[in-house]
Amino acid sequence: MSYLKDEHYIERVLQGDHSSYAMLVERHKDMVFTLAYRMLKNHEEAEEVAQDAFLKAYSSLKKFRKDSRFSTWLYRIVYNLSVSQLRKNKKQTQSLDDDQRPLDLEDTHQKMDRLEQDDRRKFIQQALDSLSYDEQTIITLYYQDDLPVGEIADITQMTTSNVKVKLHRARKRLHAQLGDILKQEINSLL
Amino acid sequence: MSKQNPNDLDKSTRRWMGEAGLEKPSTDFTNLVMEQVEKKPRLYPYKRGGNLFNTLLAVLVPIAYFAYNYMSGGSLLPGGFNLQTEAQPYVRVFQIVTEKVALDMSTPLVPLGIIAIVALLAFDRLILRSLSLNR
Repeated sequence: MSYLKDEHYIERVLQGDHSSYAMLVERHKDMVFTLAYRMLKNHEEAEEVAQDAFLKAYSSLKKFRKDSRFSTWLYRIVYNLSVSQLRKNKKQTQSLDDDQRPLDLEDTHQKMDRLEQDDRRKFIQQALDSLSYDEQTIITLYYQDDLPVGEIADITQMTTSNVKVKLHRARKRLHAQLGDILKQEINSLL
Repeated sequence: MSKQNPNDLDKSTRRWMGEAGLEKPSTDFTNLVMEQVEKKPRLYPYKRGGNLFNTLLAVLVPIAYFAYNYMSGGSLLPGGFNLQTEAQPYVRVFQIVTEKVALDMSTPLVPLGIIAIVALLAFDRLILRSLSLNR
């Protein structure tokens, strides 16, 4: 089956075929849910925010200007809804200080390679949880949706230089946390 | 020892993020969204625009017709409307089309084509159908 662009389904929805919206939901649900989940760190809340984001996007589809991608526009909605939810929950919304610990990437790689895939995934998730919500958003969009820094800045309403700084900080913190988790794990086994 | 080459950091982050994968919402996520979407009014921006355009046309075309009629020396009111004169171009087009069809019909190819279609239909109804029923 040929791959049809988002714009094709958007046109169909705008012409009254609302069932075409299911294709857009199916295509973007994992990324939308991942963004909400990484920011909120709660499955139920993330699912609710992801649903709200799709409904809001549907209601505002007429206003969607095609100068940006549908996914970028949708992620901006998810990001804003998640930030509002965080404010409601009064959770920590500020970035943490820069992590100055030295990193040993080679050592982390060697330790990770010795683990089973499920364990590796679990430890990476734990390390990701230690990042602030905006760092998680940036690192997720950059590495898991291959978005350029400019588009991430558009979604998060930050400057591109700010996104670059946070991205670098997020990488360092992720590795430092991963190193700590692996060290603790090895110590607990000994 | 600290090894913070930005490229290495980027490569290994890409690897770890790839391993982390994406989170999955509940299996009925799409259905739940679509149930709520179906409760919302449908989106018909083009139809709305089209209706406005049609209404404008329906109002402006008669006005333009009578204005043109008046400016060309005719009467502004429909009383000046002469059906025979107005219908003449349409009657002429109808006559031309009818003459063309009659001319085409007079060539041997058209009756031959009609005979062929009748023969095929007869073959299908009388022979093929009886064969398929007997099978």
